[in-house]
Amino acid sequence: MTAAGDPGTQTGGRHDDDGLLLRVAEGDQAALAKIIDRHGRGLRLFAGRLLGSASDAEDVVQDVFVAVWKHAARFDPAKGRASTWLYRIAANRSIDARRRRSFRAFIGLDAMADEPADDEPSADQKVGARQELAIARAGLKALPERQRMALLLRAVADMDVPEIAEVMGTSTGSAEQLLVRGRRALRDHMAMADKNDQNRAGSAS
Amino acid sequence: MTEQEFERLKKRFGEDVATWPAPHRQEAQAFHTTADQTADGDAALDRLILEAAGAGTDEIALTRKVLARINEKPRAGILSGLWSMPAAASGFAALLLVAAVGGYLAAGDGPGMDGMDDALMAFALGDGGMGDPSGDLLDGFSAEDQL
Repeated sequence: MTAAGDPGTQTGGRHDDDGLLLRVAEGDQAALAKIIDRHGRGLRLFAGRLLGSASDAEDVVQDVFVAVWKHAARFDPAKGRASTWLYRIAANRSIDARRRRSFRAFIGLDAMADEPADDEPSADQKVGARQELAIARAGLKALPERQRMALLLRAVADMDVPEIAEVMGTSTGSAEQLLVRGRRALRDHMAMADKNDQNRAGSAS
Repeated sequence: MTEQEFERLKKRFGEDVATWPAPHRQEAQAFHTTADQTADGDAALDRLILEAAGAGTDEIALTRKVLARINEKPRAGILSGLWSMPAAASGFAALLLVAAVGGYLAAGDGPGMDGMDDALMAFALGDGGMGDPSGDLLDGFSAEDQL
């Protein structure tokens, strides 16, 4: 892998995060603000695309940082990276949020239709390059939840397979399989969309 | 990402992009990737997924909301606990209380319960009729029987 995604190059970032969490455990709100500044965006993108709902993702991310404030003392740097711990909390909260939403939809309190997790959903239709993103989003949404989670942890959180396994509470072999299957399914989805586009263009001309 | 955004991130996280947190790190590195360095295979797909996941985020607003939540004082007083109880649980508790009080009143303090006891006793002794519940239980027997 290039420097673009080598977790081994994140040593400085890792030590920063560990130190910040130790300070949060001592009640330092400035340290919490710094953690939010560093990881707020990543967690928001992860939860947003995992849940397909911007408002649910917003709630989940707030819950994650409130939980960090309450339980920072439980973080053990010897057991893993701070970011892995944060994403594990986010993954669990996202699963809870999805279950709550399903239950509310089941009893008729909520519509099950997903809200767009993007602030500018109409932008996808503006230019051709954006269409690829729209297709990728649709492909991600169609994936089984655990495959989607594995792909997002890889792409958004820049995690390697052992870290993905740790967040998802599974073995490295299973995490690898989820990545492989998720990538294959996403590529198939994009190829199918491309083929449909070509067919439409062909029939139009 | 624009050059301005990149410079802002450099001020936030330092000069060394490799130590930036994800996904800022990947976004910055993608920004500086030239056309001939374009990733392929899994790396390209990862980059597409990151781009597809992209959305506007506001870490300052998020920080403000989180700090407001953690600095929120818990509601004090005995009644605050009751307000936070789920409506179904409190409704069920009230129903149980009403049923218990009603049952106690009906069983322990209702009129005619003593009379009913006497009538049942008379029936058990073979009196047959309801008779005078307050009379002697042996009133209906002959003198011989009473011997």
